Parts: sequence; structure tokens; C-alpha cells
Amino acid sequence: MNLLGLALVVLSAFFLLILSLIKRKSPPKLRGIPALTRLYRAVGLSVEDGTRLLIGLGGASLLTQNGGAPLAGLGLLRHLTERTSLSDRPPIAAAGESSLALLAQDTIEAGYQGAGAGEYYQPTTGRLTGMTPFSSVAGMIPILHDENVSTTVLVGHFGVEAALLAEASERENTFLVGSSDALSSQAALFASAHETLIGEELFAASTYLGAGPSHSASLTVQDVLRWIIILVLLAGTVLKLIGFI
Amino acid sequence: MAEPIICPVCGESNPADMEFCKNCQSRLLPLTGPLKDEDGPIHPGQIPTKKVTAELEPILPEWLREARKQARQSAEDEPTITGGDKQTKPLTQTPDLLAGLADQNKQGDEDDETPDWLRSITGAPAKKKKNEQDSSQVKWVELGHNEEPGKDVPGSESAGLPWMRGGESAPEKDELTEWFKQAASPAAPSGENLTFTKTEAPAPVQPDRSTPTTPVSSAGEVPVGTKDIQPYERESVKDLTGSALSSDIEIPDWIKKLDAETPSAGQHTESGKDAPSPAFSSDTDIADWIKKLDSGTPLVGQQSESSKETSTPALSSDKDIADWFKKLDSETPPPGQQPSSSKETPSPATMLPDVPDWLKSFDEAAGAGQSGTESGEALPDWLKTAGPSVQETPAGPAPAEPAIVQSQPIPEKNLPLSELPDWVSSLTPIEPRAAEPREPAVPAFQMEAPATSPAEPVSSVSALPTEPPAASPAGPVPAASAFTEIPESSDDVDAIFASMKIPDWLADITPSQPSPEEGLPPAAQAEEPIEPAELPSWVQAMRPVESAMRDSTAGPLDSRLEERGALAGLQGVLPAIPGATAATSKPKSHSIKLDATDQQQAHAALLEQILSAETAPVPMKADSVPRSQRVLRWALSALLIIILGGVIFGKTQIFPLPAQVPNETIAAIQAVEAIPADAPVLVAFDYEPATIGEMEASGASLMDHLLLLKHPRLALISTSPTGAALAERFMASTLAQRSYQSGAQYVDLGYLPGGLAGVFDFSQNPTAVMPLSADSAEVWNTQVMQGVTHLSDFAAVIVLTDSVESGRVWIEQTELARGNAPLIILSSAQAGPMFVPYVDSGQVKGMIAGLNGAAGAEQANGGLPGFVRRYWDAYSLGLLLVVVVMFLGGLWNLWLGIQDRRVHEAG
Amino acid sequence: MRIAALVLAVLTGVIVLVGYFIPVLNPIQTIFLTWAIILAGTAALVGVFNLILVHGTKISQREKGRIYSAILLICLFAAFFFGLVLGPDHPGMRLLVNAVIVPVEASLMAVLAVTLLYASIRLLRRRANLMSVLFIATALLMMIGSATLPFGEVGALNNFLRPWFQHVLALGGARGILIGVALGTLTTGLRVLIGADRPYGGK
Repeated sequence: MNLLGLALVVLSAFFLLILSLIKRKSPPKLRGIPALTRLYRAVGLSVEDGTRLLIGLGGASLLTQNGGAPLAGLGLLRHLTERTSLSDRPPIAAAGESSLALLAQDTIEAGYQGAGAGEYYQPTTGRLTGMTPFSSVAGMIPILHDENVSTTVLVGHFGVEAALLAEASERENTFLVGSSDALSSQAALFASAHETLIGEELFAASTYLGAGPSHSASLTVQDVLRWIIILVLLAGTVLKLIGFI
Repeated sequence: MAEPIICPVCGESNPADMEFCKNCQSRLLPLTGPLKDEDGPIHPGQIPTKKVTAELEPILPEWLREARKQARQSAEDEPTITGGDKQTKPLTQTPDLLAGLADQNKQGDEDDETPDWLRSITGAPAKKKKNEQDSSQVKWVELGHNEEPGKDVPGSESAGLPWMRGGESAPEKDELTEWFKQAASPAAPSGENLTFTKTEAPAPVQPDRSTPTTPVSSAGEVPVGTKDIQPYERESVKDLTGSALSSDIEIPDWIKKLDAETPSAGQHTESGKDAPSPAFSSDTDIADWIKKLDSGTPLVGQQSESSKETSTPALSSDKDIADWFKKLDSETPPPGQQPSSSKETPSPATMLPDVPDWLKSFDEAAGAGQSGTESGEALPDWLKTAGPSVQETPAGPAPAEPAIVQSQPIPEKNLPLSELPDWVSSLTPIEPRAAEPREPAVPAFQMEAPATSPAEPVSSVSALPTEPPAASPAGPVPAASAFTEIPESSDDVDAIFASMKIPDWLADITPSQPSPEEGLPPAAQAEEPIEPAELPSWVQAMRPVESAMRDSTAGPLDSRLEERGALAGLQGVLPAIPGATAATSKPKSHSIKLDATDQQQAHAALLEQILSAETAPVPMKADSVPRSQRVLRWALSALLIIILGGVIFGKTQIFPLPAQVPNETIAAIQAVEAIPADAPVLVAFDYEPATIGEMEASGASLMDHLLLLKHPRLALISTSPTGAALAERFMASTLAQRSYQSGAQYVDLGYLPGGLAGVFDFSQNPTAVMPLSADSAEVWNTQVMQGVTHLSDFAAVIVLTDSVESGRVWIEQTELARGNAPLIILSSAQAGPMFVPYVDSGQVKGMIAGLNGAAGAEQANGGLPGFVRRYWDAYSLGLLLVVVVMFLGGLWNLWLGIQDRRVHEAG
Repeated sequence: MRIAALVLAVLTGVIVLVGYFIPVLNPIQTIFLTWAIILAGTAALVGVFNLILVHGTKISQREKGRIYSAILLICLFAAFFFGLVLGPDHPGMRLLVNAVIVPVEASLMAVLAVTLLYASIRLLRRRANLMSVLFIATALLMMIGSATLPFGEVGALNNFLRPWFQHVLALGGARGILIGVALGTLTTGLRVLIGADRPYGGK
């Protein structure tokens, strides 16, 4: 069983590398996701309006199994920072976990440098807003209220507390796109957020916003693995039905 | 071209189709094309055409042929030229007339450029040989640059440079050709004039009409002309590499034609055409006009022609002049009498007391009052007399003129024109137009022929020195008179000249030309303006330079000669269009109005509309964000607080507990009951303070059941920073009835950082990962943790979590290290369903999820501690209330949404 | 420097990953994980400094809400001081948790209940589509099935329909979503592992 898992990981890494090289030559063909389309537009509007972009990364540590969502959030943060670095109001990244806050600072700085505006980087744009999920969300609400935020993006591991931020965004009349790897959060955001990314769409956000070929390659790998899992599940179900296993 | 071509440099015989010498790689054929428009007259401003003057050699006078022969011999004797001028070597070897002249010059005054005859005339000391020109000066037009102000030639030398420029810039061959054409005319004195100009009128850069100045700044400067002649000669000869030099050997046909046919007056330019080498032609001319001298026929008119082509009159004629000048030597005034002072404005007669009689006659005819110019002094008397406007014509270059030239660098081609020697400029009748902008960019000979106004004193002398009034018998330019065709008015026209073709304009002019005695001021003669002279200076400056001309002459298609406009006289400037050569009619006028059809206009309007729509700013409409309804929120809050608060504080028990206990709850109870008594149990508190109400109510019943039944030793741990405090709270408040004390019945290991990795690491080696308790005390050696070194040493692992993720971490990361220890999950209602598969798979022994699951456990525990029952009414009522509100509110908002969409669609 | 960080990160990740499948590498994996735990704990402290910096800047620059930032910092330093002096088990520290942290977060949860209710009501106005209707209907069904009526349970609803929806439909859909999330996590982790994404120091 362990070897099977290792083989799956190695195969995925191999596909990722190959597809990254292939995707380099052609732009990715992506299906439309309305939430990301609106996010793309909202980011541009925030830059034009001179308003701020707030990116919530959640409260999960990278050392947990939920670390994938914060990593995806950091990738999205990188591209959003590059795009909005020259805005009058630089974007703010809020994290509910200490190590994630440090990585957010580093990512923002890299985004500024990537945009050739490294001198405009401000360390306080990467913030630890709380040590618990609710406290971190509560710490983000004043940012919405005080720092002229027009767009809020939640990409990371959030719980149902994300609904509080969605409610606060609605009160502040700001646009919010919410995504989380937690089911409870997705349910809460579906009801309260303006746009919600369900499931693995969270990991496609950076790709849709123009990330590198490795991001689009990872989406392809996900699709391949998903089909493999589907086939395995179907085969297992059939075998179970016929009593083979 | 069947005849081989003799290299002008090395003398090697080359095939006729060779362009460069196979021996020395020198150019055999001239860069210039054949003479254009052979049958047409040469107009002022017309591009110079190089002519094969060597063809005239057979008709050279004997003395000249001897001179040439002597030059060749000397060249053979002196293969190398002293003086450090390497470029002069080929020149001396050139078997051309000019070569002979040069050689003769060299012989005579190789070190002393001033020939003896000239010194004898001017009395000036022998001029130092002018520095050799660099290779870039090979081009004859560029010779003018040698004397450019930047060269800084001192004194009269500098004054002589412009003079040379004037002579240089104008293709000597043309000039000589014209001169030769005039050989048959009474222009014989022009040869004298030529001599004079070279010797006595050296400096006139550009005769300043406004300031009459002496043509020669000083007597000592007179030789400048001769001095300048030398380099000019060399380089002009060099420039003529293929044409004049090589053709020297070849006897051109045109010479034969000259001999055979006697061109009509209107065709006399053919001689010019056929006389490619001005030097050569000048030789012949000299011979002719010497004959004229013999006949005593003064040269009248023609000066314009000659001056037009006086690019190098002095050069070619230098030697020649020397010979014939010797004849005049006796007649020439002593050097000291040479007019050099600008102060002196004597009449030609006074200035040149030794003027021959025939010149004096000219003088007399021209009027004494016109001899105010210095050039007049330098000019022979016959010229002075011929120049009716000598007074006005500051033929002599004022001392400041060189400076003027320096301050106004003129293109190469301009220099010859603008800096014509005084003797040339003096020929030009002085008119008000003398001050008009000159046309320095174009050599005089290139100027379009003043066919329409031949008698007009064409412009300023400097600009168009080649256009002295042809009808003016007293053309002040002796050289010009020598080079220009002799008008028919001249009574002493030689038979040759009479037979030569004369341009139409000359032919037309000649009858009206005044006799020398009737020499009128050019201004008076000029009834019609000459177009080239009227060109503004800036237009003249725009005229192409010589390089373009040369290029233009390279190809047969580019050989058209511009006859009109500002480009008049230039060749090949504009591309020749077949069939358009005679496009004299006005171009067809086209209406600027667009003849567009309605459809095209419609398309254009559509395009314009599209473009305007693209450029028009379109305000971006921000995404509409529904406004929050504070009232609704407050109403909902109030409703829930009031109702649920009343239920809680009322401690009602209206709603019954669920009768059916979930299977996972039963499994959890069974697993707890299976734990040995007083066994170590690891309890993980992985929930947040926000869910403390649900979690404490959910876990209290089972934990109470455990403590009550088994009295386990508890080790508390948390993967949440606040978990340790929550654990303490749970033990101290929720399980207060069990009186568990920290360090006695339980230990608080505190916060386990690292999440998944931390749990995994702890499962592998708990004593190493969490060696101390939350209060920094040793825990693994305490009685509570006695016998526990690995995770599997715990009797059970109970996880209280409000999230699926943390529960999965404990399930998955401790599976191997846990061993047989059962894992029990106490979760929130929202996370419970996700643990069901783990329960079903056996990875989790039992689970209690939310109040629903805890209800069964509490019932199994005898209703203890009673949290479920305490909250159940509020819980059930709250759920029902929420359902109702959601349903009604949902319907209301659905209707509102429909209304909004209708309004939006209508709008 | 960045290359060194990349090599270090990739090697560490590979060793830890392979250590899950190959027991031979467990000791090395354990060492790395221990280091990770220490670094994570240190990062928590560094995160607190970040919190101090942010709010200190807010106070120094007299930004809006600086009063709350000042209160936050005062409370932070007080809790830190007393925690070090008294220890986490001291009754005073328990009081701090029970009197401040728990009520605040519980209140947030209560507000969340109102917020979710409010959001659910407004959902059909914001997105009046089939998904929203199904979402609301499912929520209503689950809530009704979780509660009991004053007169007793609705047997079919509480004992059959709710569990069926919860364990079949909801759990099946949730499984599918979680599998997708797991795949996304896998590929995202692999991107970091092969160095395509470098949140540590950027590109």
C-alpha cells in the first residue's frame, strides 16, 4: 500500500514536470469559472480605483494536511501582488498562522521585486491577524473597514468563520471571492460570499490569473489523477457488487 | 570602342571594355557619361560633361604639341615626382594635354610654381608650391575644398584659392571647350585674358559686386593664381583620369568632325560636346585665338560661355598661355603695374598701359568709366574694354572676400561658381543683380543657358560668372570671353568659329550684340531675367552636389539633364521616366474630392463610428454588491437572542431527547467501557474556543462516563495554541464533578506545534517531542505517566475536535504508532459526518458527533452531566425557528430577486 | 542564496515524503519533523512580533482604529507577562482564557449563526438558481431532521431521511470535493517540492 502511494506521488511528479515543459509552449485551455473571471476584473478595478486588495490565507499551518490550500493562496498572492504592486494602496495579506504570515511577507516582497517595485514593499502588508480561526477573521474585519479595501480574496483554509468576513465585506460594500478546502467553509461561503470557489477550484485560481505553466500542468495532473480515481472507484464498486472483494 | 584604352596612369594598353587598368587598376573610363544632348546648346547651369580632349591633339598647334611631347619626356625621365606628392606622378605621366601642361609647369617651376613668364609679368616672387592635395581632392569639384577657408591659406594665397575654386569647380574641359569653341571667334584675346587671369587675377574668390575690390590683393599675390593652378591642374587631371587623359591618345571623332564639318551657329555646342577635355580644347582654342590675335580681332561676348565653363581655365591654359603669353610678354605691363590694389580703380587703359592695341580698343569701346574694378587691372585691356561694367564688377576679390568665403563654406560645387576669379567675374557685367544670391552650388558652366536672355547680364557674376552677357562684347571676364563662344557680332570671327555650331540663344543674341564700341552695361542689356540667376540662394544650395551628379551620369537612364527649375543644369538628379522626357504639359489636374459611393460612405461612417466608440471613454460599471440590511440582521439577532435566551434561562424541557442513539455513539460508549481501569488515556483537545459550547456539551457525557467508570490517568494535549487552556477549562469546569487534578490524575502536555507533522512525530516518540508539561514540569516520569513511553502504551486515544482535518490527522498519523489503543472521536456536528467512514472502517472505534450523538451517550451515562438536556430545548427550538425564518425569508427574498431582475431587464 | 534555499527545501521535502513510504528513512524524517516543529513554534513567536509591528505602526502613524491597536498591544503584553510569571495553569491565566477568549470567540460563533441565517435568507435574492434552492432545501431538511418537536420525533425524518441525506448524499458529495482538494494539495505540494513554486524567498 505504501509503495502504491509512493508510486502515485512519483507518477504525479513526473507528469507535472513533463506537462510543465509542454505547457510552456502553448497557453492553457481553461474552462470558464465565473468567480475567477470576476476576481480578475475586480483586481483590475481595485488598481484603477486606488483601493486595496485584501487576501486572506486562512489559519492552517503548512505543516498540516491543510497546507495545500495556504500554498495555493501564496501562489495567488504572488501574482496578485505583482499585478497590484503599483497601486496606490498595496495589497494586504492576512494570515491566521504565524509561519504562514511570514511566508506571506516573503511572497509579497517577491511579488514586488518581480514587478520591479521592490522599493515599495512594506513589511506590514503581510500580517498575522490572529492565532485562531475566529480571531484571525475578526482581525481582518477592521482592515476591511479602515483601509479602503475594495476586493477581498479568501484563499486558504477557513472554517465557517469565513462567513463573518463575507458578512463584513457585504457591509463594507466590497467584493469578496471565497474559497477554502474545508467543506463547512465552502457551505458558509456559498451562502454569504459574492463568489465562491468550490473544491479544487481553489487550486486553479493562480492558473486562471496567469500563473506559470507549472500551475496549468498541475491542473492537468489533477484531472488525470481524478480520472484514475474515478476508474478505481468504479472498478471497486463493481467488484464489490459482484462479490469479488 | 574597338580601340584599346591606354591607361592614363601607367600607360598600359587595355581592352576597350575594361573599366580599370589591368596593370595599375586605375580607372580607364571616365565616371562621367557621354555628353548629353549633343545637339543642343549648352546652357548655363548645365552639368559639366567631360570631354575627351585628347582627341584634339592632332589639331593642336605645333608649339603645344611640342610642349606636350616635352612633358611626356620629362615624365618618363622623372618617374617619380619630387616634392613628396605621390599623386602628381600619374598626373605627369598622363598622356594628355593637361599632363603636358602640368609637366611643363613642373619643368618650368616645379619648385617654383610661378612660371617665369608669370613672374616676369607680375613681378611676384615665385610662389611656393602648393601643398599636395590629398587623395580626396582628386575630384575636380573637390578642388575647391582645397582652398576652402578652413585650409587657411594666407594672404593672397587664400584669395587665390577661391579663384582656383572657381576655376576648379567649373570643369576645365568645358571651359576650355567653350574656349575652344570661341577659337574661331575674335575671342582670341581670351587666351590672353586667360593668361591674365591666371597670373594677374589670382585671388578673386567671389567678386563682390557691392564692394569693388581689386582682383588681386597685392602684386605679390598674383602668382597665387599660378600657384593654385598647379594643384588644381594636377587634381583636375587626376579627376579626369579616364576622359581627358586617356583620350589624349585616342583621337576622338569629334575632332575630326570639327575639322570636317563646320557646325552652324546653333550647333556650335557640339564642339563643346565633342571636346571632352577642356584642357585640350583650350589648347586648340588657344591656337585659334592666337590666330585671332594675329588677326587682331577682339573677343567679344562669349564670355558668358567661357565663364560658364571656366572651371579650370587657368589650368589647362597655364602652359599654353605661357607660350602665347610670351608673345604678350613684351606687351604686358611690368609686374609693378599689375593691378592689385583695391584702392586703385583705374580704367583699364590706365591700369594696363601695356595693353595691346586691340585691347585698348576694347577699352575704349567699353568705356573708361567701367574699369573701376581691380580685375580690370588684372585683365587685359581688351577685356577691360570689353567689360562694360568693369567698374561695377568688383572682379578683383576684395581682401575680405576670402574671409567671406571662409565664413560661408560652400559646397564643393558652389565654390567654383561663387569664387570665380576676378577675371571671370569681372567679365560679368555689373548690374543691380550682382548682389543677388549667387548660385554657388552649381558651377557656372552648369547653369542653364540663358537662352531666353542671352544678353542679360545674368545674375551676379559670382553666381553665374559663366553667364556674362553673351551679347556684351565688353564682357569683363577675359577668360570668359576666351571660353565663351564668339558671337557672330564679332566681325573677326574666324572661319572655324563661324562654322561651329552656336547655340540658339547665341545665335539669337549675336545679331543684337552690341559691338565692342557699343558695349553697354549688362544691366542695360538684360531685358529679360535669366531664370537661373533668379534662383534664391537657398534653392541653389539645395542643388545636388557633385557626387550625385557623378552618380547620375553613371547610368544611361540617369543621364537626363535638367533644364528647368532649380535643378537646371544638373544631370541625372531626377530619375528618368521613359516617355516623360517631354512632359512639358501641365500635369493633369485631379479633383481632390472623393468620389465615394453611398455604400462606401456608409462604410466610412460605420468605421468612423467604430473608431469613435473605441476612443470614447466607457465608464466601467462596478459589480453590484447587495447592500446589507442592518435591520434584518438586528431583527434576526433579537429574535434568536430573545427566544433562545428565554428557553435557556427558563430551563424548559419541552423538546424530548432523540430516542434513537446513533451507532457510532454506541460504539464509542462501548470503546470507553472497554478501557482498563486506571489506564493512561491520551486526550487531545483540538477545538477552538468558538466551538467550546458545542464541544463541551458533546464530549462531557462520554468523558464523564469514562472518568466515572474507569478513573483513567489522563494526558491532555492540543494541536491548537488555545487547546491547552481549553483542556484545563474542560477538566476544571465541565468535569468538575470528577475532581481531577493536574499532576495527580492528569497532566497537561500543552500545545503540540507542527500540526500533522507534530502529531506524527509525537506518535513516533512522544516523550521526546513533548518532554515537559504545559507548566514546564517533567511529566513522563510522574506517576500519571508511569509506564508510558510510546503512543501505544496509552489505553485509548480520545480526540475532541471541531474540524474534520484535525480529527483526520490524529486518525491517520497515529494509526501505526497507536497499536491496539482505540481511537475515539468526539466531534462537532458539522465534522461528525466526515468521520463516519472512519468509524465504519474501524479506524475509529467510536464517535460522538454533536448534541445528537451526545444525547445517546448522556442517556447511557444516566443523564450525567446533563449538558445535553440543558441545551436541547434551546437547540431544537432554535433549529425550528431558523427553519421557519429561512423558509419565509427565502421566499420573500426570492420574490424580491425576481422583482429586481424584472426591473433590471426593463431598465 | 535562493538556490541554496531551493535545494534545501527540495531535499528536505523529498526525504520527509519518502520517509512516509520507506521506513528506512524514518529516523531522518523524524529529525526533520522535529526541526519543523521547533521552527513552527518559533514562527508562532515571530508571528506575535509581526502582530506587534503592525499595530505599533498603526499607533505611530495615527491610523484609523489606533485605539484598538493600543488596547490589543496592552493586553498582549499583559498576558505574555503574566503567563511567563504565573504559568498557564495559574487561576489567573485560566480566568483570562475563560473570561476573555472563550466568550469572545463564542460570541463570534453566535454572530456567525445570525450571519449564516441572514445569508441564507438573502441567498435566493442574490443567486436565485437551482443550486441555491437545493442548498436551502437541504439545509432546512437537515435542521428539521436534527431537532425534535415538542411532541416528539418525526421518525421518518429524524431516523431515516436525515441520516440518509447526511451519510449518502452529503457525504458522497463531500468525499468527491475532498478528493479534489486532496489532489490539489498533492499537486501544489509537488510544485513546491520540485521547486516550481517557491513561497520561501520567491522567484
